[in-house]
Amino acid sequence: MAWRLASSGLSVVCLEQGGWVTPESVPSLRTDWERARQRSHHPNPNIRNNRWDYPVDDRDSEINPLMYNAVGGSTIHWGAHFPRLRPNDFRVRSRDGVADDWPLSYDDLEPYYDLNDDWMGVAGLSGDPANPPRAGRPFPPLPLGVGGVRLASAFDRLGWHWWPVDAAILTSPSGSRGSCNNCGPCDLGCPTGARASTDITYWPAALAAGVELITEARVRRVTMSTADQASGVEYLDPSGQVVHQPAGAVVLAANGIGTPRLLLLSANADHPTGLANSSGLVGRRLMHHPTALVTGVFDEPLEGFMGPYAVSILSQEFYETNRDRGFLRGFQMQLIRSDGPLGSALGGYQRPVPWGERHHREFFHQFGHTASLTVTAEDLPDPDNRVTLSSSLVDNSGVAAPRVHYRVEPNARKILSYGIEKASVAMREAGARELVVHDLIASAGFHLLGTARMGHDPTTSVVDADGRSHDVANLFIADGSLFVTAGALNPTSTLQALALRVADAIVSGGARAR
Amino acid sequence: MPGKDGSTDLDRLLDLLIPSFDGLPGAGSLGLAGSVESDASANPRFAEALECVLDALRSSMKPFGESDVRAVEERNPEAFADVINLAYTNYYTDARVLAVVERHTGYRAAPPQPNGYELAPFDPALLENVVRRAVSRSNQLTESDTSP
Repeated sequence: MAWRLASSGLSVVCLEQGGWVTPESVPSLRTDWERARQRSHHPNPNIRNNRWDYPVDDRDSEINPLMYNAVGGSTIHWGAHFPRLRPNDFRVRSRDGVADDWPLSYDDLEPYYDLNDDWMGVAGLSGDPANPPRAGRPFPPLPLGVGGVRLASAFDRLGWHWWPVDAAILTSPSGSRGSCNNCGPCDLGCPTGARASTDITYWPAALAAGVELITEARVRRVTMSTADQASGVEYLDPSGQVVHQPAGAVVLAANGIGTPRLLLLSANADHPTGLANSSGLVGRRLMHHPTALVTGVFDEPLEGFMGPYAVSILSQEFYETNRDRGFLRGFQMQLIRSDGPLGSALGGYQRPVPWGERHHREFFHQFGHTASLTVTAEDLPDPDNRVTLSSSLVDNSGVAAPRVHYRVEPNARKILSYGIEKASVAMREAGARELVVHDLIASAGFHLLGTARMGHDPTTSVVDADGRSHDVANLFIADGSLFVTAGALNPTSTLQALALRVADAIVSGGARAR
Repeated sequence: MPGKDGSTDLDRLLDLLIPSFDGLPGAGSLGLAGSVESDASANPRFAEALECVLDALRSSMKPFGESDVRAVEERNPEAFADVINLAYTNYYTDARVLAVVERHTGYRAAPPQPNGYELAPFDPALLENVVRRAVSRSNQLTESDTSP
């Protein structure tokens, strides 16, 4: 977004709540890297408690929201699985009679997917029969690993779709970025620069194009000059001083929880229920991707501690609606390799290793012998799943924390149940001697979507198809909040493509935006 | 308070949670009590959990054993789970323990970076069956959608 705007000649100031994360600080350079994953680099800000974070009041949520606050945002702390939504994901109402259609199509977004792929760097293989044709991937796919090959063969015998995933990970060096060295914990950061994060992909170009980046700036509200014109934002600098940043247009990109929080914090006399909220939908329709996990324990060593943990193969065999299954929409299955010793002992993907005399026998029985399939369900939007402001929790500047109200909707529960059955079939076919099933991963709140949805109708959406607020003419949104429906695929490539498209809309609508 | 051999209640508890293995003493005898206490002190929840479990074990007025620990686990499951987290975290990030894991599994005890593991090339022959099935299916598709 910032790069695209500045490259088009606009003057851009970007306010980032966090700071820069240096490659030298990446925990995977240390023997105790798994301690960092449990403590200082935990994906949950409530556990990590980093001074750049804000807490999330998640007492009323079945899924714990995860995020990272730093230059690069949550791409600092992700697995780099990089699928695109499929064409039918943009027309769920038309095809299946539920939820809503997007105000744009896959074809509208495709050039931005392509542009974003170039910036992020994608390893993969074109030709996936489950997806539209796309340009050849510039980097070859990651190796599937022993477990991936086993599962792929099992899918073949079952006659089910699978394909090596698109990953935002370089498999050969490019520019200043090195090649993946198959180390495993991509989520903790990547000192070689192989795993993409926007601090090393877009940000150098954005700064070169003239973007002014102000770090450790905690934005607390959007300011207004008139009822329908924003005048800028107010933020707290690291010393706690209140600073006003004037702007001709304001773009919020603070994720599906942070953006509605800011809009609700910006309530004023003209917008008493929150800025841009005449539809009443700011914060509503929060979607995650409810996720179940089926782990197979195998006799043979699978060496799952080698290789990017979240990216190997995926299956979209059960992705589209088949009404005979008793639910609408569907799910992806994604192979997860395995944890390190500590994660395995604590039972992240498998059964926790018991303490006492059986401890070591059980540990070696499982460690390195597991592979897991996620069942990632499409989450249909429900207005009661929402972000509000907490009445009891504040951030370290005294600003109200977001409160999340979330229940897994019944359709998604049916998807998970069916998906567990299918993933179990695949694991058994692959030769697993034992299965461990997690019905719902509470800590799988990594995709925060839908809380300021786009649409043509101001009474049923927060922004238009260009990300522009229906209520405030120079206020834009450019993050996962825009999603109308969630699909059942990781959203990063889509939300980045949307941000690029919103940027182009701002540029082409220039005078009006200013 | 240290026992006659100089060991503390926490040492004893850690030895019961993670006993000796393959030449390595149990987690307490390995000297991990200090790092467990330090880890707990950084987080009030962990500190309270550790204190709760140790207090419960000390209340029996006799040296505690496995059955006493299991009873405490049953009475205080949440606090006990936090103590397990402390014990496992400090055990499985200790270089001596990781060396044993390496010996038994091929896992590399060194940090994941900067060396990683070999990045083997992807074998496109693996996809022959998927592509063959897709061709067969596409011949049956009646709509232009891309469902597999």
